[in-house]
Amino acid sequence: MKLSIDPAELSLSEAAAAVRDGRLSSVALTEACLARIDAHAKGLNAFISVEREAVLEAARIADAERAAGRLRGPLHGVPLAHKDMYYRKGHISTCGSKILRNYVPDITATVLARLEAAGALYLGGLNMSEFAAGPTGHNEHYGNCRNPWNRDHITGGSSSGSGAATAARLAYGAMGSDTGGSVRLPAALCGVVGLKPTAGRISRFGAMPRSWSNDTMGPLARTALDCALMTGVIAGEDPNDPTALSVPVGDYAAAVARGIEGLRIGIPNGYFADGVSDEVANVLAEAARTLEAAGAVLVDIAVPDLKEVYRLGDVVSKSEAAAYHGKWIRSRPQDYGHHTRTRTEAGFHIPATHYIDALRHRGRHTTNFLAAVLSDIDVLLAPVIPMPTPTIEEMAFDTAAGVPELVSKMTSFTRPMNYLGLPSLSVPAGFGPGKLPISFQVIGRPFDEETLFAVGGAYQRATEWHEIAPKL
Amino acid sequence: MAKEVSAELMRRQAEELQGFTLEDGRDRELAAEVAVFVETVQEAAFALDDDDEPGNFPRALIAGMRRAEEA
Repeated sequence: MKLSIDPAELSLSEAAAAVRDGRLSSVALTEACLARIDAHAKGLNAFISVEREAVLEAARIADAERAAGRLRGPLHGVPLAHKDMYYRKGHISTCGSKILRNYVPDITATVLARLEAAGALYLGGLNMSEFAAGPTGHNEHYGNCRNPWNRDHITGGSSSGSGAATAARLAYGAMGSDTGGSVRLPAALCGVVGLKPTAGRISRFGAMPRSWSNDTMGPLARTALDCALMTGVIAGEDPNDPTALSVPVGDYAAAVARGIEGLRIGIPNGYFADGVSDEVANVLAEAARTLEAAGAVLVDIAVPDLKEVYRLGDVVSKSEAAAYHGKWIRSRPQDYGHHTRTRTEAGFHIPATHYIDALRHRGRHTTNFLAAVLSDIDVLLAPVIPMPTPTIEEMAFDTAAGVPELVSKMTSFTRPMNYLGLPSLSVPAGFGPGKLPISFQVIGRPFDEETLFAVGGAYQRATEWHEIAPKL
Repeated sequence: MAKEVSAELMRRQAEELQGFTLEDGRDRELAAEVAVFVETVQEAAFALDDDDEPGNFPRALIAGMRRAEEA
């Protein structure tokens, strides 16, 4: 393990090992994160709340437990922060909104309960797109989240603070949520690893819904191993969420180390290749060569047009979001940001039969995609977004023309996987214009997160992109 | 080309079916949003069979866990 003057520079897995072995205290990790939060969180607009005294007290308890020979789990004493939509009983969860600015839930999200049981500490609630509606990181109520690599650019969203805080070393990892790309986009644009799990892999209980059918809960952290550790803790069935399926949970940390010799990686043509900028295409091509050098077999795959899949997924998300927000849009429309309301309100104008038909199509499309694309390969390598990271100004809904088209373009490679239910891991793979990160995603078969982590681990052993920190 | 959806339809749906009023211009914005996907859904309906139902999705996920030759 590298020696670092600043413990905040350690990865989550390194920090957890340091606490476990007694080389660093949980208090030292926590104070390091808090110092960086003090210095940088405001400029990035990454946090909505910081629980300074509570997390320091939790760190002192973690250190005392360790001194007494008791470790809670693989994340003992490691401070994390989470998208401010994971409910904690008795604590405010704003969901990035004005409407829930003072909302105090009476339940705790299964994901947070499992992280806490594994020893993780809670630093605070992270900024996000209002009600998780929007892929850019704009927020009219708490300020736009800013990309740590260049503050004029978007972080991606809706888990904007999760991407920014993790990349800026303000927290060792963070939970996000992904309904149309909301983990993968901020992970990709901020240069960290992010997992969108298989539908049904991780409990959604106690997390604010955007779309019950398309929502998935996923971690963001600096390395594939970090994400694997978090996933191993939070995955699995949950009696509080009947959609969390009873499928065995893999040893994801072990998968990171297992190598990819002989693994068949699909290189797409057609969808995932058409309309991709040269900068992004070059990074993807270089990543493919790196994975081939690590032992993978590259296979050209024609990917069919996923426009229908994208739109059916959008119909489902908009219909369900409108249902969830119905009472507030009727009674408090002025309390929504403009773009949040527009994206949500459209759902009121989708006939129920269209919504149901979109759900009826889902199993068929998933089966067809698996047969057409993943029957002869283990994973598909694809861009996360087709273009370099836009600026905040370019994506400002109220001032810039063509933003809805840009939003659709940004999510064109992510939203289809939510509707199809397939897992995808976003991994940083280089830099584009303005030294902003460019990432790839690996898309796998249902519940095969292990293979995604194997690819991420092999790639990060061969490259150093994940070691480079933004200069703040 | 997106199918045309009228702002008038949006306004009347909001007022008569949903129970709220749209501000000036909002009906046109919503019509543009809905127009993007309405044709796709209308056409997709023809591809459905009698046994296509929402419950097929989790079945498809479970069935798709392994590549065909491993199953």
